[in-house]
Amino acid sequence: MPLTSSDHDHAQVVHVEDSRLDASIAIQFKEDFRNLTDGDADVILDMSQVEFLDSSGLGSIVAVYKAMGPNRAMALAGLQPAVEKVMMLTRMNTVFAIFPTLGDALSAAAAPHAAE
Amino acid sequence: MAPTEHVFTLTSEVEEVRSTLEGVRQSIDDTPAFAEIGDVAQIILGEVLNNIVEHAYQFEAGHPVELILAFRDMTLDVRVTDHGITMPEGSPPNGGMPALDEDGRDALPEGGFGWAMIHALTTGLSYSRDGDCNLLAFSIPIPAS
Repeated sequence: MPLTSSDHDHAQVVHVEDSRLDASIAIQFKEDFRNLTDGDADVILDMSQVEFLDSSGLGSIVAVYKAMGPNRAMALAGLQPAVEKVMMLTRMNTVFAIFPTLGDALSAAAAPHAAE
Repeated sequence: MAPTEHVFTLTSEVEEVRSTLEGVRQSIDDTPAFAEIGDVAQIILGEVLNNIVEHAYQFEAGHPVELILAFRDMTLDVRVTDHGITMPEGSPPNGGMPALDEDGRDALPEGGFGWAMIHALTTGLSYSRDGDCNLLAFSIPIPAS
């Protein structure tokens, strides 16, 4: 499954290593994301390789966000144009903090008060 | 002048949807005036074709789906046919975009976005049932620049 994880000082980063987060991998994404993130760190989902997100993929992101519990944050980083379009249309951009790059998301995680 | 038509046939599996969308992307990229709607067409057709796999054919593999793209002056006209079960209400669901303003993350919707996006991004959406055949037709407009 195309998910990898890396630990940083203030957040765990989950990288989607696939060009599409769609109906064909949504169930696997949910399982693997949960297995990778069974700690208590905040999570940044690195979407920079994802060219296409459909409603099943979006639903799987919402599902894992809910499953993380109420006290862990999840941010999205590196959205390509078609992915950003889906986030805007569904207004999910009002639910998740979205950063242009992973570096921006990591900076914000290191300085949480500046982001508020 | 007659529009250029591109016909895609696939069977009812999510992997087939994925490869068909790649073919659609190629067709649109090869038609410069339509490049602007490449992303939107991927989003719409992904939802439409996955709905057929999941709902019309109930995840049963191997059933036929036909997709016809007609490149016209200011629109991409789309016709999609399948031989699965009819739409439950006799028409495509149109409940609007799921609300996000409930309290707390537990209330966030995980579905209902597909048809809402199709309605938001297309014009002239029509559905008919002819014998054992579902026909969905709509247009994707090229934004005036």
